Amino acid sequence: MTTRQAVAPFAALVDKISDIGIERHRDTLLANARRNTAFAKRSIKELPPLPEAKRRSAIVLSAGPSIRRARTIERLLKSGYKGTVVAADGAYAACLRAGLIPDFVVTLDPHNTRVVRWFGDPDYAAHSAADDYFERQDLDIAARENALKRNDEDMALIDKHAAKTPAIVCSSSPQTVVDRIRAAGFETYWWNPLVDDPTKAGSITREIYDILPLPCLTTGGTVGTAAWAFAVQTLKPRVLGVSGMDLGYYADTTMKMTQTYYELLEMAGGDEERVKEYFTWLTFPLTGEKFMTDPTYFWYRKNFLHLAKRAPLVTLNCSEGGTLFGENIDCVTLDDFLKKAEAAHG
Amino acid sequence: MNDFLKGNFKVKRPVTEQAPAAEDKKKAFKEEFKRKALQSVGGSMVFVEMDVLSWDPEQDADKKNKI
Repeated sequence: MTTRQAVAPFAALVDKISDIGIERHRDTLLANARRNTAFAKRSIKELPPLPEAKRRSAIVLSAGPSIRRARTIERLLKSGYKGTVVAADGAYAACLRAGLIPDFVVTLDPHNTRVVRWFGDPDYAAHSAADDYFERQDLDIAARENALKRNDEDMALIDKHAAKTPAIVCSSSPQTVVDRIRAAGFETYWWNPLVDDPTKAGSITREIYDILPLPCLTTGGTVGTAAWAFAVQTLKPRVLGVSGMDLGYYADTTMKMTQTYYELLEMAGGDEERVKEYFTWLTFPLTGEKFMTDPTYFWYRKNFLHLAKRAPLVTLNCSEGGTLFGENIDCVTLDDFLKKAEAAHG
Repeated sequence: MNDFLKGNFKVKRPVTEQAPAAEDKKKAFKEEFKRKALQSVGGSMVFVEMDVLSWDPEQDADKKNKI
């Protein structure tokens, strides 16, 4: 197989993803926004001001495998980090399990049976039947082996701590997530997804805003980027780091364990050999380690790079691995991020 | 087809041609499966490249009023 052949299906699919997303999500986004009008009583503009120390630096924790491999949460805790911790929903339970209470948890994805698992799913057995999505998540190996037990433990833990962390909830959130967040006792602050140009005719964003007049934040297509945008636009820290933002897979991950493997296999006509054409490799500049990425993660990466260039500050990627590097993004170790944050804290 | 192919033996079970409708159904099912697969790689959320990170007409109006 030549390089040219390997790249073509990958690039073609990446180019299609924005259009696929619009077709896929439009009706759901509008329906969820309509249903959430009953619950979205406070916007993110009504968040109480943070104490001065918390305003100086922030770190966004996403659910990429590096967060476990680099022991990011444990190291943050040990460091006595004084800044703000923003957890993407997929990283929230891992924080609690390690004893870290995030200052905020952000949720975005409108999927009705998967996302609720991040908050402990009361209907996990039914929702996970015939869906091995969580078994393909590298964040928590233990959870793969005893998923039902882990879900129950997470539910209990989240019920205990929910009131300590405001949930930053997108109007696109599905009923299962909203019901669970309310039952667990989170305080909720709402926002809309900025999914297209609201000044153009037929804009989905404009239609959502007309249903629910909330501030709109860019998402880059994924909750980790949305959490970063929330930190940039709402918290406005002097120093901002991201971790667990891998947007790729470690070299020892089999393709079968990647998030869209079955879909890519379908596109490759069921030919396991041809699935390789839908993956590409990037070298993480800090370590020289190679990471594999699929079209969806590559699209997230492309979006993040587009947004990072337009941010008013440099983003410090302290994931210590992955594919996220580019203009206005500095790859640093977590220890270096902590030193920079400490300097900002004086 | 029966006009052109004639056998010199008799089969035990009657042979019937597969109805075109069933074939179409199979094809449609396959197409639908492919469409769903394609949608699943479409990310968690819609995103179209823009130069701004946020949009809040209410806040923009407040800013204008202050000026």
